[in-house]
Amino acid sequence: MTDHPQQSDISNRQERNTPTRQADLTSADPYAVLGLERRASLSEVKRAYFNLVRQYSPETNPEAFKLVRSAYEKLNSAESKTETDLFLFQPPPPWEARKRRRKLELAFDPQDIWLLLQSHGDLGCSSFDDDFRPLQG
Amino acid sequence: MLKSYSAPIDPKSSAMYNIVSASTLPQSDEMPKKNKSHNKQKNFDQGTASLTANGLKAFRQNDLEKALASWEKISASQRPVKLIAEAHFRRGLGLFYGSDPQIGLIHLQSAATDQPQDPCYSYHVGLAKHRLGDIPGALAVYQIVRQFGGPYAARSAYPLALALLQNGQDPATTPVWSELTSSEQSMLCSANAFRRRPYHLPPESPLLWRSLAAFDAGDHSQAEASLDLVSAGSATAEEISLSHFYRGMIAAKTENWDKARREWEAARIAGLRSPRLDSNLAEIYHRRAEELLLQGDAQTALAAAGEAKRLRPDDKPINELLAQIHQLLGYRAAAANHWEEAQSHWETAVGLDAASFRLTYNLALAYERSGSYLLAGQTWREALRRRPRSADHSDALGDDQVARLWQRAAECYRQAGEFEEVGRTYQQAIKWAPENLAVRLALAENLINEGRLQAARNELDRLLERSPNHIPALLRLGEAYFRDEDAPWYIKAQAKWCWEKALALEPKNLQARQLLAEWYFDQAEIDYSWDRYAEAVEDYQQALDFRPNHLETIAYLAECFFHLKDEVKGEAFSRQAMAHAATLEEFACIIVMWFRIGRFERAWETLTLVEGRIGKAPVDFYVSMAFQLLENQQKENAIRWLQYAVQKANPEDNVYVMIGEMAMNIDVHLSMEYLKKGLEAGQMPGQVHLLMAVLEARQGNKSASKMHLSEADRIARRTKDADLVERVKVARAVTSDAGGLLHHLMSMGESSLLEDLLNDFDEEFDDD
Repeated sequence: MTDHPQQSDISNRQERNTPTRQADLTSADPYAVLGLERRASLSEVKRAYFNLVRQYSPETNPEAFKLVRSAYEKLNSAESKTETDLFLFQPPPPWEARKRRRKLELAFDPQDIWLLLQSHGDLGCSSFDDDFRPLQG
Repeated sequence: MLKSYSAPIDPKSSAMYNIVSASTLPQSDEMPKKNKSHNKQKNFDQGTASLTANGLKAFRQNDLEKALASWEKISASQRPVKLIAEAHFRRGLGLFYGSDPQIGLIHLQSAATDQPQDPCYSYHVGLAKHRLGDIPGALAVYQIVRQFGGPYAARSAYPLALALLQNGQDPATTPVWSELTSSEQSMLCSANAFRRRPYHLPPESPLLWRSLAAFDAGDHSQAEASLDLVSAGSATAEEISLSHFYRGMIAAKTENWDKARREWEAARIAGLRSPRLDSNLAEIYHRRAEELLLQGDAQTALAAAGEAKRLRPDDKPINELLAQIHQLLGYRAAAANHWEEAQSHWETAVGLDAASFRLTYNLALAYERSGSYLLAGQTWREALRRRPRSADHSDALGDDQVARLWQRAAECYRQAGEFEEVGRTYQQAIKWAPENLAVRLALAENLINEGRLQAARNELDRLLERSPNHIPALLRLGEAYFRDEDAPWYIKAQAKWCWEKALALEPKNLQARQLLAEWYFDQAEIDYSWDRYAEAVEDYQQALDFRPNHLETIAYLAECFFHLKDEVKGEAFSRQAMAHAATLEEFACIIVMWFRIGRFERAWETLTLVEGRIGKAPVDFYVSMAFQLLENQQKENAIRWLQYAVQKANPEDNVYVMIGEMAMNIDVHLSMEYLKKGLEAGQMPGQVHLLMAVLEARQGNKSASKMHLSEADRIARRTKDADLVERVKVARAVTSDAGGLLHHLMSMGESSLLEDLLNDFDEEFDDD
């Protein structure tokens, strides 16, 4: 998968100095917890982790720190990162709109007149209890 | 039976209606299926009169299906044909104007076939065909009705004239024209103008029709102005719905999609049912959903796509779009740790026939999260089946990754307890990564757990061929030899070789030491059981080398030396055992060792030391030591321990009852003695009476048993002890006789046990 770094040449990627998005500590995606995009490299992971630890230190914010630490442990070595990447839920492939849309039927159809005429008299009726035969036997 | 219609028309003939007889009507939910043999039997049992009466009763209750089913059982010559025709007629009208027009038409046709001389039924067949768009069929039927004369001939004048017009004929040139009202003639005259373009309508034509003619001519502003007037005036519901529909058309032509959607929804609400309307409206919703999705508003896109699906349920592109939205919403839910919601979205997407590698992969993860391991395993398998095979694909997996996914599937199957599947999936993993030793090891471990020890050994041998010094494989291979109960000793002995090799490779490997200790302990026990104490000592000492301070081993070593009359070493090891013992279980090992060699005073001394070290032990410790003695025919010594237990017990221990109950299967008299003491001490009287009842019954004292049961029952009811009431009931059944036990099992619904018993009985006496 393209979202799996082992399939892409991550070493050629330009490393960023800061996380690429807001850290979302409640996410099930460890990259999102660290505020990173999915293809972040090991050094980006490390940098993001230490930035967040400054923000959520174990002394001042132990719960938040646990979440950050847990996410970091899933990505902090090549081995664990490979395993995490292989079993990380994926977005659907990009949506491609239809090449050909269905044509709208925008012309007058005389059938509509016939339908109107069919609403007149017995053809437009749906209750015929008066036509029931009396019960015998 | 399908009879085909053919001209010339005979008004009295039934062959004209494309008749499908009632007996060939499709068996819908509303039409109960017939069991032929059952019906046949019933026909024998029930007379014509009762069937007629039953049908009539059902008819009066408006249960027309039941009425028809009753009457159709009557022999053809005696059937109430008129009633059957009327029932088909009423059922046909109900279905035609209700849930199922096609089946309704078949019933109407049956009525007309059964009573061809009644124009009412034929007339309604004509109306039904007309409404279903079968204009030639309707025309034929109307013409027959006209030949009957009377009120139905008059009523058929307008439908016939309209059908002629729809069939491309001019009704004004036919005799029926004179029977129409002037307003009907005017309408049909105007409508006649729509037979040929361009449409030139007379000025007295209805405003809506003129609007439509203007629309057709491309004069949209004129058409829109007129359509507005139609809605504002006193138009019929049909006219209003059509005016909304065409206003929507005008809006769509100028790409004012919101207005088009509003107008077309208004047309639907006003009652217009038209495939064009549904198709256009579905397309508008489809486009809106696509736009919203591209804008990132998946939630609103979901609603729009849902509307599109409602109108075109089987449209593939709509289903694909809907599946995409569900996948995206599932992904977002998973990211927010809302896995149940994610699972639901992904399941819906799969249900839309959109299963892909990514989707099934995500779903497998969701199933794992929810603990649905069997589903997870199956879904991983499905994901693997759907994985892209082309290496260029963005989701392409390498061989190692494929193997890892198979391994994951195997792990899910193992969690689900599906061990056969575990083996199969591990085999798949190995196929993709033959050099992946971890996978081979996992497969071998599964085989060991399954008890397939030879297969496990083969797998581990293959692993060791690739990596001869693989320590975990050596340890598992040893296990696969050691656990093989059926293998001869020289095969089992391979275990020792494997573990020794592992230990040689890694001298501090704790698992290898532990396993070797168990090996020597096992060997020592064999010698011990044959009173070969000298040999046992050697093996116990080997075991102790690998597992130093193992209390049980030390205690056995002490015992062996005492047997060998080496008091010095025996004492030394017993002291060593005492020095290392920390838990009650460990002290129990030492006390039981003294029991085994008949040194009861030393056991007693040990107890004193134990109490000095850890204080008073729980009462069940003393009692269990006493029972060790009882089981080894040392009643006198056991009594001493029991008395000590009584002395040490707290009131809430109910020690007499505890001892009485434990002794039931070892010493009946002792058991009875302690239960009586319990009763005197007021310890759990209901329970004591129950136990005494069982003891008395076992000794054949039925009356005493009954007395105790009654007493237990009385106490249980007085104290409202539902559990005891139930147990008394069981005891009563079990102690009465064998029949009582059987009755009790049946009343409990122990069907499987009973089935087994009965099956055994059947097999036993099958030949008889």
